[in-house]
Amino acid sequence: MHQTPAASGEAGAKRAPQGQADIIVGIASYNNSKTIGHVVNAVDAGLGKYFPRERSVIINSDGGSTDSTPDAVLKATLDHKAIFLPHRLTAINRISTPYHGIPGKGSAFRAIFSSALSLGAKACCVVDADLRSITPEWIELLIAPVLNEGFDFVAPLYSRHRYDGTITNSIIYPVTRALYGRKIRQPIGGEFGFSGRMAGFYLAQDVWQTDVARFGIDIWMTTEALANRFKVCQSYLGAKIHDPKDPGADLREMFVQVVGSLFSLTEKHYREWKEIRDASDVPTFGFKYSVGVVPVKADMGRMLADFRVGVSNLKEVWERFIARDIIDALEEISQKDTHGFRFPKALWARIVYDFILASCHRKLPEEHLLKSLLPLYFGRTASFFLEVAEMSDDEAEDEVERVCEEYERQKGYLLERW
Amino acid sequence: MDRLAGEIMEHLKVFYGKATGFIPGLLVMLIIAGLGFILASIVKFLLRRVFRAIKFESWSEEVGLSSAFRISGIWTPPGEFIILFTYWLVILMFFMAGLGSLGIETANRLIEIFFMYLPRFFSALLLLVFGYFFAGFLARAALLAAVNAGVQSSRLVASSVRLMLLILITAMALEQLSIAPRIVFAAFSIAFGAIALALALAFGLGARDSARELIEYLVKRKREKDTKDTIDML
Repeated sequence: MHQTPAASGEAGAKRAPQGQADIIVGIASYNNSKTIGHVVNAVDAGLGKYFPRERSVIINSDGGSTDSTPDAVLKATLDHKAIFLPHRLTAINRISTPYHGIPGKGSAFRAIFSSALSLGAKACCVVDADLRSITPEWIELLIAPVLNEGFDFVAPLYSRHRYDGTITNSIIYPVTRALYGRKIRQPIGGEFGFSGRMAGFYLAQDVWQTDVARFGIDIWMTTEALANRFKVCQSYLGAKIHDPKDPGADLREMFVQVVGSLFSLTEKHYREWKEIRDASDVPTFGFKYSVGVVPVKADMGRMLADFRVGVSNLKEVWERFIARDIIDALEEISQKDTHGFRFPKALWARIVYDFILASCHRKLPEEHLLKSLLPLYFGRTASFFLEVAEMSDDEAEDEVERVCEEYERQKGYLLERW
Repeated sequence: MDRLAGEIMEHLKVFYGKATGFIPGLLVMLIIAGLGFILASIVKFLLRRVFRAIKFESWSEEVGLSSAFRISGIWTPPGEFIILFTYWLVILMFFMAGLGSLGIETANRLIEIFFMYLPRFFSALLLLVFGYFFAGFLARAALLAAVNAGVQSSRLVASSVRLMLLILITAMALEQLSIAPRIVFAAFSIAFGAIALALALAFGLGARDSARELIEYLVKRKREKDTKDTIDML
């Protein structure tokens, strides 16, 4: 563990963070030396500008970077005068510490929760280390609802390109909204604000040997906050621009971890969601403005090819838990050419519910089940891209809204067969 | 006439002597068999209750045991099949144990062979049952891996994996039962080698174009991934 001398002196370099803090900002990192300096400066400026009187600590929870990311955290400097910041009454301490356990974002967050608890923090937030669009205002928007308004959990709200965030748009957001009845638009956004009480709750859960310790952490945090009736809200942060994903990272593996966590949480919280019928808005903070988003290119041919290969090979696997007429419908749409290809949202919602039921009823080993969903997800994503190709981002957002309504309409199907 | 009657009496005495020596043994055997029948009925009753309590039939349906039975031509539900199998096995074991009380040399040898063979039989049975599921699991894993790699003939890949594993498992079970081990070994080696060769030839010659397409596709995908992943899935 490395600390700035201001934190607790050189003697504290090998100890857990001690003392007290009002605000903790956590940054999980792994080989992010190029971008983390900017993130730290934005956080530093945000804390200086909006929370000058609070005792604040920036904690970098690192997964064993080999590109001197911890050094970049500690060496990042900001000219406070250049952004008209007054002199702080208390120093902002920085700590860079490696986390233990399963390598992944979840384990990094666990270390941050632990620090928040030991420092007695009132409000915390976590931000990604590869952010390029983070501004000091993000810190205000993630922390102030907790510190000033008494919320326990703050989800981010971004402007995104219509082709961006496809797992969120097609599965995570609609399912979370239909089940728990709260319209949190970015349940796996990556940046969150939360209270010290919430951090204590997270830390007390025994999930750190599961996919929650990896990419499942975001959906887990949001779902636990919703299912356990914590006070939740969302804050509009503008556009999220970050580094392209690590080419070595397996995005299919990410899909399996995120959707697998969603399925297991759905099973765990059946009692909490079974009575919920309608979805309501959550309080939203931040000033909504038009923002240019980075266009996302989509390889439609590849997605459609993956879908068709899945349909022609996985029928026998799906037959265990999907009705014959649904499989016939899939076969029919897989015959369509690219131009006429459409994967109806009603069919998609029904299939996702069938997969949730199959997961709950242990029809297949979890990993097999989720991997057999991947080709269908590609098919639905390709269809969505075709549907919204000529639309603006706002119109595409309306289309996502209609997908959510379809999930809500079919929730009874899930309940009847649970 | 008296002599004949005397001889008959003599034979009858011998028969009586043998019968009196045999009948207690027979009675013991019947008692043991009767006990076996009672115990088998108790086991059957208990197993039925346990299977009902743990919902064994629906579990069998879920894990594919029922369909495996149906494919093998066994239409009795797996739970009932196991119950009946155990029931008759218990009866058979008691009957064989009872046979020993008759004191017949041939029967004793038969019993000895039966009980010595029993552990081998069970281990072969376990091997087949677990092997069947293991083969199914790996075949499905291969199928999904192939599908997600974009391989058009993924089912062929999965079927090949399953076939090879089933051959391997059957050979191991037969080896365990000591049924013509040399022939089994030779047959297995030939069959396994032939399948591997056939697959290699089929892929290399018969599906030369597909092989080229697949390799080109995989290389292209790898390049695309290395360049930049343009879709942020989250």
